[in-house]
Amino acid sequence: MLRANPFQSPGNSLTALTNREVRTLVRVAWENSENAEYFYGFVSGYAKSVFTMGAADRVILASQELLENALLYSLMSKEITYELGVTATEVRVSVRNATISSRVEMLRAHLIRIQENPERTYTTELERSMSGAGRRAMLGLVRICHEANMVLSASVDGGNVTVMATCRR
Amino acid sequence: MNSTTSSKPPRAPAPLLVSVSFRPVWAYIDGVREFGRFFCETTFKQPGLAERAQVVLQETLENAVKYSAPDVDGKLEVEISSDGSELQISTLSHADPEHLKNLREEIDNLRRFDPEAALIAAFARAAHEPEAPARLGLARMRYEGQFELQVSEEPGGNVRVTAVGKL
Amino acid sequence: MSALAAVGLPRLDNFSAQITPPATVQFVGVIAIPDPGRVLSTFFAALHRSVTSDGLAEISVDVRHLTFVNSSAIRLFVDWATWVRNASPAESYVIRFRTDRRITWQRTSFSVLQSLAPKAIIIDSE
Repeated sequence: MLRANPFQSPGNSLTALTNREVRTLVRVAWENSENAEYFYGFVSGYAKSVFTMGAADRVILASQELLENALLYSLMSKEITYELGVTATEVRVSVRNATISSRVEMLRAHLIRIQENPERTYTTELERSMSGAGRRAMLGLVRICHEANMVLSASVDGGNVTVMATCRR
Repeated sequence: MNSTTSSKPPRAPAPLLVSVSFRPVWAYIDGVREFGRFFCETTFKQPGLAERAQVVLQETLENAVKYSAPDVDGKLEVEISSDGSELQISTLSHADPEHLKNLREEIDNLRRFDPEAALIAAFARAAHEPEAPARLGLARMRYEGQFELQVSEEPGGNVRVTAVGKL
Repeated sequence: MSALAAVGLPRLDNFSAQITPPATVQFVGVIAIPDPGRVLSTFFAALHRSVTSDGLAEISVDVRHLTFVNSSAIRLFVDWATWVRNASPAESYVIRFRTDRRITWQRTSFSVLQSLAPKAIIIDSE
C-alpha cells in the first residue's frame, strides 16, 4: 500500500501534525557503516519484545530492507539515521540518508510503479532479482509493501531522503 | 528544575547517536548492552572503548531497572552521545525518590577517592560485609570504564544518570 | 572419584563451567543475570569445599573465555577469595586464576581481588 502522495515535501502539514504524536523508541545515527548486521540482530530482538508477533515481523522486514538500501545507496561518509517510533495506532520505521538527485528520481519512479500495481511490481522485481538483472533496493521496497503490507512514503530535504514504512500496531 | 551533584556548568549537549526506549525490565539489558558495544566498536576506533562502554551500559541499566518506580507505564531510555572527544552514556528512568538520594550520596562519596582506590574499597566492603550493597558497579564504571558519573533530576520524577568518558 | 570431579555443574544461559580433575576449572561465556548468586553461589561454595576435601594445594581457574561479568558476579569471586583467606592452615590452598590481559574486566578486577588475599591468589595473565 502507498499513501496517495508517496512523495512529500518537508513541512507537509499532515506530516508535521502526525510527527508530534510520534514517540521514538529507537533512534540510531551512524556514518555509512559497511557492517550493520549487529543492528539487525538488535532490532529483531527488540521488536519481538515490544510488539505483537505480526507487527514485529513487519517492523523487522522493513528495518532490514530500508537500512540495507541506505547502506548500499547513500553517499559515502554521510550520516544514516534509523528511527523506529509509535503513535497511538501506528508503528513507523524510517531511514534517512544523503543521496543524489538521480537516485531520488529513481526512487520516486519506483514508488509510483508500486502504487500503480504492487503485485505486478513485486513479481517483476522478484524475477529480475532472481535473474540478477534487478536492483536489490527495488525488490526491498516492494517487499515492504507486498509482504509486510506496510505503507511506504518518502520525503526529500535538501540532499537527504527519508523513506518511511508504517503499519497499524 | 534540575539539580545535579556537580558544581560544574551544564554541558552543551553532544550529538545524539543512539536512543533506545523500553520498559524497565531486565530482559532488555543484554540486547541493549551488546548493541551498544557493537555500535561503539564500529563507530569509534579507539581500542578498548567498546569494552569500557559495555561495563557502563550494563551497570547503569541494571541500576535503572532495579530502582525504577513500579509504574505500569514506566519507561527507561538510554542514550549514547558523542562530540568527538567524549562519549556520554545516559539513562533516564522514573526512579524511586529514595534511590535518587542514595545514588547522589554514593557518587559524591566515590568522587572523594581516585577510581582505583574506590574500587579496592568496594571489593573490601563486599568481602567484609557480604549482606550490604558493595556498590561495586559504580566503582567499576569509574575505574574499569574510565567514566565519571553525574546524576540529575528531571521533570516528572525522572532521574538521569550520565556517564562521561574520554574517547 | 575426587570431590572436585563430583561437583555439579551450574545450568545458566550463556555460561558454562568445566571441571578437569585433579585441579582445574574453566569458566566460559558471560555472567550478567540479575542475581547470579542464586544460581552460582552454591557452585562456588561446592568448589571451595571440594578443594579442601581433596586436600589440594592449588586449584587452577581458567577465566580467559569468561568475556564479561556484571558486578554481582564479581562478588562471587570476592566470596571465594574471602573463604580462602579465612581458611584454617589445614584447609588453606591457592587459587591460580588464568586470565586474559586483553579483557578489561579481568585485568582490572583480578589484581584488586588479589589484594584481598595476597597469599591465596595468584594471577597468571596471558
